[in-house]
Amino acid sequence: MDKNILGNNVITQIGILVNDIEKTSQAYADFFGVENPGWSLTDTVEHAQTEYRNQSSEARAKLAFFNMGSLQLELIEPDQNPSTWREYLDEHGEGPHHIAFVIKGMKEKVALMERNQMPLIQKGEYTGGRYAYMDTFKNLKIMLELLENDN
Amino acid sequence: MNRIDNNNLVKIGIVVENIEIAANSYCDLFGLEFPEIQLPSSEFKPDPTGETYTWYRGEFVPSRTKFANLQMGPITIELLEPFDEASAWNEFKEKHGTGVHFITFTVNGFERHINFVEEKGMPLIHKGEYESGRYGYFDSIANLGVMLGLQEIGKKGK
Repeated sequence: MDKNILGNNVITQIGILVNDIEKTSQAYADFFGVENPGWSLTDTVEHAQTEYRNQSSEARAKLAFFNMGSLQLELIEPDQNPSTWREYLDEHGEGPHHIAFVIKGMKEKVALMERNQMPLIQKGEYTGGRYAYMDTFKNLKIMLELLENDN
Repeated sequence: MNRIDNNNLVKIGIVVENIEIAANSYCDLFGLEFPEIQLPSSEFKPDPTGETYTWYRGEFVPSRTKFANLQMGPITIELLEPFDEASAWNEFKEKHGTGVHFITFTVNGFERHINFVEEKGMPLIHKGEYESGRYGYFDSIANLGVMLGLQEIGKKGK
């Protein structure tokens, strides 16, 4: 394997799939004594240009973010359209799905990872940036998400 | 007590099949130094003083695992290759294979935290006391979507 491909080892997020984001958000808020942040819906495919396994997908998800010290904990409730979120939730039930790293140069990093047998599974755009989920299960036993922010 | 001590997530625990291979993959991909891999002795001897122990679902058991800590910025990734014997780690392995098993917070006041978390409907399933600290895992998946781990650092009673 090429070494230190990402140039960063600081985990910025851990993403957890849930069936009912309102119920689980409230449980987090209660348990950790913080405000319930509410959820937001990812963009439609026209804006997000979501691609899952090389195919355009209408998939959207409700997201809620909790600050947990040095990283954010992201709750994800996906819709029924094809996505890594839906696939993983159906196969494994609720639970951690990915850890995320902020990187620079998305295209180059994705290409480097693919060259090292860690293929792209899903990608999309959000306001101010883009994400890519990489299949790192074989090596790392968890999926990686790459995040690139424009600013 | 009406909330946990703090909400600083400090550790992510990942169950793996082969700790040397997994540690190598992390070190290569993230440019980390290879960690020390902790190997429990193959012959289990309970601590005659009872000061250190592992407890799992109501019983004191050997509950051994190989483990290694990788420092990734402020977060520790703990890789675990459990022995084929009763433990929370092996329970996860049998159910899910490999993957993220728990997230851990460091607290002060371990016993009162156990009471607090259990009162919230998340029972303790596994705990351990070692020379310089203690840890426990709770059945919190229905509430939090992930297993909660708590640890306290420092000798008992200090």
